[in-house]
Amino acid sequence: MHRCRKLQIAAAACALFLAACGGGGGGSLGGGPTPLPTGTNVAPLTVDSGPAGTVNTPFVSVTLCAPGTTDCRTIDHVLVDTGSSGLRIIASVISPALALPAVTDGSANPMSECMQFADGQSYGSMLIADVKIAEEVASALPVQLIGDPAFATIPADCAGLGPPENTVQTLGANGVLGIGIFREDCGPACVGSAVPGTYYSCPASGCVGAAMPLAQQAQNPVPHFAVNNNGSVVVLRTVDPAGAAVVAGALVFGIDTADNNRLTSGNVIHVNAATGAFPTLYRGQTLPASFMDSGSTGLYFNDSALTVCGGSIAPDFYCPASLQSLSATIQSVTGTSSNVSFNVANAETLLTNNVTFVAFSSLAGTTPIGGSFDWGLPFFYGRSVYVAIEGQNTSSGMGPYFAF
Amino acid sequence: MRNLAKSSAALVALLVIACAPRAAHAALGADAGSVDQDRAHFKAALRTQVLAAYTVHALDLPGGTVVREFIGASGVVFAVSWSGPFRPDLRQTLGVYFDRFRAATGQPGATHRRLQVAERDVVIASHGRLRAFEGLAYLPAAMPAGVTPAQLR
Repeated sequence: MHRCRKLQIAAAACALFLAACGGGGGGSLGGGPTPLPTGTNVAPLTVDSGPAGTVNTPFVSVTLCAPGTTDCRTIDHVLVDTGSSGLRIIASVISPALALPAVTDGSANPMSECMQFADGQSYGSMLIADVKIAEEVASALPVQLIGDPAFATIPADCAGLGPPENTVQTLGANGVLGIGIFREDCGPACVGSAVPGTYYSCPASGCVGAAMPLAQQAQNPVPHFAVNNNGSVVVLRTVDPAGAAVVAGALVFGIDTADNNRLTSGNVIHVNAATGAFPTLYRGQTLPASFMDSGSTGLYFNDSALTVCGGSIAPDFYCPASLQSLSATIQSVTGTSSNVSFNVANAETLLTNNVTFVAFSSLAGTTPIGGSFDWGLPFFYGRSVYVAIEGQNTSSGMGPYFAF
Repeated sequence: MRNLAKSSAALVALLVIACAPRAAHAALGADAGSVDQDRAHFKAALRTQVLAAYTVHALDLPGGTVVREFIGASGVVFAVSWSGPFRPDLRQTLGVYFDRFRAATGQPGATHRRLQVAERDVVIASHGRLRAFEGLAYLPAAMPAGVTPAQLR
């Protein structure tokens, strides 16, 4: 039986087998924080196969409204991403379409954006929306509408980054909710002058690269909430070693702002303010460019002692003969460190054993360039991971930091 | 056999040079002139460092990303790397090999955070996330003797 597993976010061929991928139901909700937090600052988080048959991808629902109105659409299966900032929605999933005003430059030209990924890019217009997640509201927030049919021509320096990922299938979700450590996606680098492959001004003659003020860039919604705005907590239950078809969790806004988001752990990992990176010590090596990323489907690091999968099911993932129990040390840039234990299972076995399973706590693979340990979604299972935003104060100090 | 293997590698290297594109872009596999074309395209500042086995042409792009182009004694750009907050235009830096990158997107194993191409004639690695990207592409047959990919940073 053909197994449609999206280790990544994309693979058009899988679209044909979505029914098979969908699987559905049956899995235990697992252990971990019990009960899951509730409240007006909590949105239910779910790891399931999603709209594109993905694995290890956490989803939340987000509501967009025409600014100042009650004309709203709720979009399900938006990827919760601690590795980026800004809200992006695939245009076609907003149905019926919502009349959202354009973000414009000084000459009233609409603006567009090229969102960069390691494997390609997502292009679309910049629009203004009121954004509601749980009961928290960010008013008049600049967001990206990926695959906006009114902006179908992808600028050359954006297309030069790789293939467009402008559909639900190629993006792997109905949208991306970037709640990472940065307030904006591009940040100060895009303010002074145009950076190729980022923002564009779009007069009738076509889009040209343009500088973008901070306030008009795609925004992390969290700092724009009236309260609970210094960061967020990604809470996911544990997963059985063999995997699970669905995993429940919670996206909690605020850090130590309410009873349901207390930070009591001593594992506070301050990061490089420019890159969001921190060092990880693994097998005697320091990996300085490490990061914590709910948008990564696996743990990605290099270890020559682990067997890499040989077949076409999980290329560049690890396939050890037996479950490997490993550990690493995560270091704060302030000098404190935390030991983390993790498991690496045979990826091909995980992905083929039970066709309904899409959540795996021991899925790991190689990273193309050394020097980093990508603590992807397997790290998040059974934990509460805190993401403190740059320049926002918390009881454990000023962001940016991760804590767990 | 040993000699045969060596001359095969040399032949491949020669073919790579002979087939090197002469278009207005394409550093990888092209000659030193393509570095200047890339510098102009990216509006970059150029720093050159001469090492024993190769010369590194480092292009400082306006957004803060550094693109390094490596040229060996044969005169061919045998590797290109990048590191910084933004990805460079890979159609420019990879030239004819950009299609290999494009073909790898969406394949099992590729994700929004990592992409790897490991073919006989070209190796491409792209990694990272918002504000922290890095990558390396090289032509195995054109690598100077004794040089390893890990050195190409």
